[in-house]
Amino acid sequence: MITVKQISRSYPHCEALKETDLQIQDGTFTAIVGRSGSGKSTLLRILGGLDSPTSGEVFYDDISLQKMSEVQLAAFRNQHIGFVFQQFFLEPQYTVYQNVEMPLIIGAVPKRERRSLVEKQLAAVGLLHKKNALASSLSGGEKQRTAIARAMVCDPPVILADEPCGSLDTENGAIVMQLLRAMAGQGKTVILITHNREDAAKTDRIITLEDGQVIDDATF
Amino acid sequence: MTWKIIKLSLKAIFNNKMRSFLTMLGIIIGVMAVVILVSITQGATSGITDSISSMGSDLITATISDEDVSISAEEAESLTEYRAISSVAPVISMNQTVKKGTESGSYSIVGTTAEYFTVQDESVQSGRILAPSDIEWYTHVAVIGTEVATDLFGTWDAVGGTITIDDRNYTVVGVLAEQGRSLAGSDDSKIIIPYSVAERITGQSRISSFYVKAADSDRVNSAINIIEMFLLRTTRDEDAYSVNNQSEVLDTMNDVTNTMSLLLAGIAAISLIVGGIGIMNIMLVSVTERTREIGIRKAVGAKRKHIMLQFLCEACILSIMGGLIGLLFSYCGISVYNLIAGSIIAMNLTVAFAAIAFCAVIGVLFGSYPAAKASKLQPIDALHTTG
Repeated sequence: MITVKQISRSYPHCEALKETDLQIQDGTFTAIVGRSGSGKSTLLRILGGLDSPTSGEVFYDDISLQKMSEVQLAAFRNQHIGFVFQQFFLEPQYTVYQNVEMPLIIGAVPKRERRSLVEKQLAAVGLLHKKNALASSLSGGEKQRTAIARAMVCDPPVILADEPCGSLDTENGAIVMQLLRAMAGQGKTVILITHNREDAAKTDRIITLEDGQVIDDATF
Repeated sequence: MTWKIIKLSLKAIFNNKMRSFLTMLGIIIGVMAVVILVSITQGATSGITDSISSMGSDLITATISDEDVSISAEEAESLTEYRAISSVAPVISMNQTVKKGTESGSYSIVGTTAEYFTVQDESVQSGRILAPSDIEWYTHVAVIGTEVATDLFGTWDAVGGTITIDDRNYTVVGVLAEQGRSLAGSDDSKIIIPYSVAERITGQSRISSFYVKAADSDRVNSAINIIEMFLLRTTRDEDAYSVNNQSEVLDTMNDVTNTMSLLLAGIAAISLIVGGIGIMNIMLVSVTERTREIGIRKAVGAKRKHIMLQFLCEACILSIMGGLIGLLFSYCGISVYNLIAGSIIAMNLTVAFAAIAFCAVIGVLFGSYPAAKASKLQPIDALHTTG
């Protein structure tokens, strides 16, 4: 279970999050919605250990991210969290295979094991036939599916997706949502940041943020 | 993991081939400068030190520099009365034009006695050396170096042939064994004639120098003292002569060579350092350009050491690769020099290895700052950079 306790995040000219409390159960598919500047992306980065709160703590079960050293936090991200970003953040000069393989290399997984894990994830997102293609040569939908395979390759229990369909057309957006839904079906905790009400409606729970605070929390 | 980092670094380097080459250029020039300069200096001087050391440590050279001082061969030869001295070879040196048919050339003429061959440890590859009777009877005979033989006789056997020196014919009675080149020139381009005949060519009976062989290596210092006393007594002027032992000359030569090599290596090392600064500059640019890549890697769990290692590895590979290319160019440069100068200088391997090791050190030193800068980037800042 992910527990957010009294999280605040201040920047020089604004306060993105204000003493926010939240609990997210394991294996749920949760959407965090809100207008631009409501603090949803800031919350996601803090949940993923990419950013630190000004005050408050984030717990994964009983483990506090804020009590971890930089090295521990890096290892935690590698093993426990998979990120999917709107801009894909693939390395264009590398192949699809090399992009997906990267977290495994960082996690010091042996080469033979890496091969089967990468191919399994590429098959799951339907891109095995493109494993040797350069990331720069892919379409938007393929790029996002590659990013999802990369997020899943270390089999993390938590997937954090920041506007994953924001740069995609409706058809590819629907494919990505199906993949996220499937992850939740496999027992992963999936947290989706989105502007899109239709995408949010496909989740189990919608948390609405406004001015850095939770103003609505609906479970279906 | 380490191999993977090396592969990633190589990929990053080859993705920007032109920029990588230009970055390496400073190192390439630096290594070329170090290796070529030191190799040429040491190679050129090794010839002369080899020829000096081959003469043995018991050889003493006495040179009379004052032309007003007259010492005869007989006076010099009287030194053999001392037990510390085993033999003395008086020498009259001059340069003369030597002819053989239509062929001619200017060669160094050494007028001496049969003792010269013992003292200088020289032998003939064909024919004979000078005999005492040649000196006594003013025989016009000559023992010539291999270069003279090739120049004047081509592939024909020189022994028994005739050469002309100062309008007089000389019969070639022997050809010296090949000795090779040194900084002072070729030792194979001299002509040895009887001392008594040389006296007639110069028209005076003074000798310009004499070589002395000490009875054994333990008595070299005694022999030097005896010669110095003899010369002082004869010339009454300390500045009119100089007495040198080959080992002293060799030591001085080695000192000069080592100092020269160090000086040249030091100057060239500066260009290596400048090359290192070039690498640091490009690595800093690379860190800025690849901020997003660093952010992605950090987001998926890369630790600071992973990022640090990758950039450090890139800097080291650039530096070492530059060093290796520099070595290749140095080899070509030395080969071209050998072709032009007609020498047989080899690449100094110690300097080559030292240059590569220095390149690795430069890679680490100048790659550390950009690598540390990259590793300290926060993932969120790195991802934010790209919007």
